[in-house]
Amino acid sequence: MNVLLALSLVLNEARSAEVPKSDEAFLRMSMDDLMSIKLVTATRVAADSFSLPFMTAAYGRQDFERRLPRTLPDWLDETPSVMVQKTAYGQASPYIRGFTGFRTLLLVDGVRVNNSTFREGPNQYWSTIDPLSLDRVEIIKGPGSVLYGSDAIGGTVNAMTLGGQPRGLEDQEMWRTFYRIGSAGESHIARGEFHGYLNDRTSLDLGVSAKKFSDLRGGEEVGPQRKSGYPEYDVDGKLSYFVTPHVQLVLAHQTVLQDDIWRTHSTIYGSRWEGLVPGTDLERSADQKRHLSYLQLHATELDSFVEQVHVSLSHHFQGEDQVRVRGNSRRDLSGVDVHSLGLTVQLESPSPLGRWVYGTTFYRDWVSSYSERYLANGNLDRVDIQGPVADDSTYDLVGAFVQNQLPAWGPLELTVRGRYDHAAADAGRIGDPVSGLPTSFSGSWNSFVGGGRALVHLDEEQHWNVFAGVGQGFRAPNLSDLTRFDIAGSGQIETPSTGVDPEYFTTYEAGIKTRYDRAEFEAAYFYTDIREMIVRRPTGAIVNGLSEVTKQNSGNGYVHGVELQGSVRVHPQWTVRAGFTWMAGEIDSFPTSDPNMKVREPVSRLMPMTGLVGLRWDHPKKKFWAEGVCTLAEKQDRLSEADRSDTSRIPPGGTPGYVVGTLRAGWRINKNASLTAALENVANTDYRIHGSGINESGRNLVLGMDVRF
Amino acid sequence: MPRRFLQFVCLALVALLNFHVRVEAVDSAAGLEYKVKGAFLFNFAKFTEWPAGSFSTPTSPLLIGVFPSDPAAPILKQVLNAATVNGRPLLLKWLTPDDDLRSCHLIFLSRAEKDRAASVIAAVKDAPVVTVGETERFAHDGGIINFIQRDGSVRLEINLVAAERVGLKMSSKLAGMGKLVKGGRN
Repeated sequence: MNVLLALSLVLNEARSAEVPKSDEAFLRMSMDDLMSIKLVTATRVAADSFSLPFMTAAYGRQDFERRLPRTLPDWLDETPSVMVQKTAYGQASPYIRGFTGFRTLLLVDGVRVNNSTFREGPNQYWSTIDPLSLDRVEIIKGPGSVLYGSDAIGGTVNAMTLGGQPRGLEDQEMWRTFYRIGSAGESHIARGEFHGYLNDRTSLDLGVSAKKFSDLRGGEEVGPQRKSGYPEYDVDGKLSYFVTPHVQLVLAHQTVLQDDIWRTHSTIYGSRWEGLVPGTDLERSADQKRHLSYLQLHATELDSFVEQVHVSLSHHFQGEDQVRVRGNSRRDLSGVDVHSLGLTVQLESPSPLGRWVYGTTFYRDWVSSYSERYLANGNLDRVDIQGPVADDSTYDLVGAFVQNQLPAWGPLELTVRGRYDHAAADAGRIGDPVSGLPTSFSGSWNSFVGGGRALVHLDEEQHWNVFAGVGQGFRAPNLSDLTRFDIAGSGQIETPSTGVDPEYFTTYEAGIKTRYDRAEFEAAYFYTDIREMIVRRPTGAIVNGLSEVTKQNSGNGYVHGVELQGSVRVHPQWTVRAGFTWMAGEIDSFPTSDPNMKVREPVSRLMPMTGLVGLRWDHPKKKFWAEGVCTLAEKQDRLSEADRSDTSRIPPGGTPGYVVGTLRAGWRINKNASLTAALENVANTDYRIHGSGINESGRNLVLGMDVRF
Repeated sequence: MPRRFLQFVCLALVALLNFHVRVEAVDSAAGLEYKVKGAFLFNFAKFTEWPAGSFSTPTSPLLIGVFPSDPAAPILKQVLNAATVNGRPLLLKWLTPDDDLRSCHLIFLSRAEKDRAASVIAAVKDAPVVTVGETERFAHDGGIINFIQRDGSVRLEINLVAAERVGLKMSSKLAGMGKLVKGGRN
């Protein structure tokens, strides 16, 4: 209750707008302030976030410079309804409105990062996006399957990369260096960038990042968390050519390499904090690599019935190699390589009947996998038929979508959407857990989803908007659902289940947004109806020494919640902001191998009630700024059976609540240099994000320096 | 629903009802973009010096030309209504195709009026008129200032050479806010 009281007292001071927006106030704003007003482009049609009929968040470079996030997921962690779970220091997986992993969708410049091997529960792939290569990140909460296809259930994040700007008179070559150091893990991040122009029509952007993270130091009691550090190397480049002022061709590439990221919680080096029980493995580590290349065409302001054309052709390689050394010194090596070819076409056409956005998407994955098992003496014991997912496999995802933003009807604005998808899997080599023989599988599925949203301006002055909508999300069974033969959670092994079908989710949402000169506030309630979700069920068998779980379409349930966010400029230089999340959810599960024994229990790893309050000061000339932020989370004791048995990640009785304070300050030294300092977790509190395999950092002094020349 | 959550909702509602914010004017969701740009126009007028003879008296109004069919026009009028710059009232002038555009001190063309851009730029190519657009390459094609979007925010392209060629002097503060481009009437 102390948390509630504290939050309510601060909320009493906290409703604000980042910039004033009344007519007179507009004219009093400096051009710097005017340039700080953010518009959201989540729908690829520039729009004021206030007028969008859903909850969004967008973060740009200015926000990055203020917060200096270490990873992309860390950049999202102040967003209501987003809980950034971390299985390991280098494996963060945001839960958005109760869902994570393959039930959230990550895009890089519109290209899907999700592929057909993404698994149930948290994954590591979001940590393979270098935040230093990004210009902007947008989050669309709730189902986005109609526009973005399979997996967009809890939310969709589009990470947009730097570069590709048209040339101006003063734009010559520009070099940029960035360095960030953090004390809690002796972390070092360095980046060099080059922005230049080959001629008046062609820009070139190159970037290289090198990162070294030593073992993360937790709070006062936990101290250093062994085997948590890892290195990372990133390269990115973008060549942009303006065929005409309105037609741009972009050729881009990015590479991310991560080495030796340990899942410490499942090893003997795991934490015993609050009664946690470390695993028994001597090693669980993974190397991760990702190479994305794409060619995109963006044509705008075309003088035809098609006003905009966006075409993207991409090749995405994602590879992982895992090492597991068991307590008896037996060694397992496994891995997956995925090559994904993507083609998307999106068109936009204005018409008297509304603005149409329509297009098609095609993705094909080529998947290979391996698994080798070695005896304690180092001799090869056996080579398995498949790795974590089926070897020698392909997976196709083809979709077509249409959205119409109808002409405004008085104060009412309506948007309707529909989408058709076809998914097909061809799994070449699957290990049969019963016979131990190789088998194969082919299957295909079709899905139709739709949705509609409405926004009503409540007053003529449009200080108040209400919105409501219903949207469907779907997820076709992927190779992980169908063929995964790998460790699942703690102490379980997931075996192939080829009999599953697409799962569907329907989200109902209503909210209100208000904005005045110095204050803004948004609140929404959402209810996601879960039908026939693919859930794990124990079989009662023991495979490779672990309890076998299989999957079936029998998870019915719901997740619902409330999210609030707002800010108020209490003084020209002082701004207070706050955010709040509450959610709950239940789903059918099968705790035993008896298929008739079904229980309704809390959804796994549900975000606890969480609040955030912050106070920021900006120097009148923007030379300096300072900020204090306090994050509060309640103890999460609403646990599923899987949570309770995940004893290396979730303490007995649940994950403790916490109150953590952070101080930040910045100095814009001149036009080309800025310095940011932060003291995170000021009180050196021991805490972990619910469901994580590692505690958050203890007191952490972070310094960041950005120099352009 | 847990009792503690209901308690929180009650407290949050009380908090909401308690905060007092002075409402200064209207905000338009759909028109936010043009309110921002209207304020930029105000600043352009403030930080630009027109050549001698551009105004008949020290208090003559500064005329901002806008085509009335432009959907941005009513929003600009709302923002700029009754504003004064350096002692001069700002007056929005509804343009017609037959008007002498050179009588304006500043002309704004939104995306909806992009088809007029070339003819407007040509009509004032030798006159001290700050032409402001928001379509790609507007400033490269001879317009003085172009609004573009970067990082979700409004940014400026300024054709300083074209401005100086017709006797317009932009303060270093304004020139320093945008990306300098060249082209068109250079």
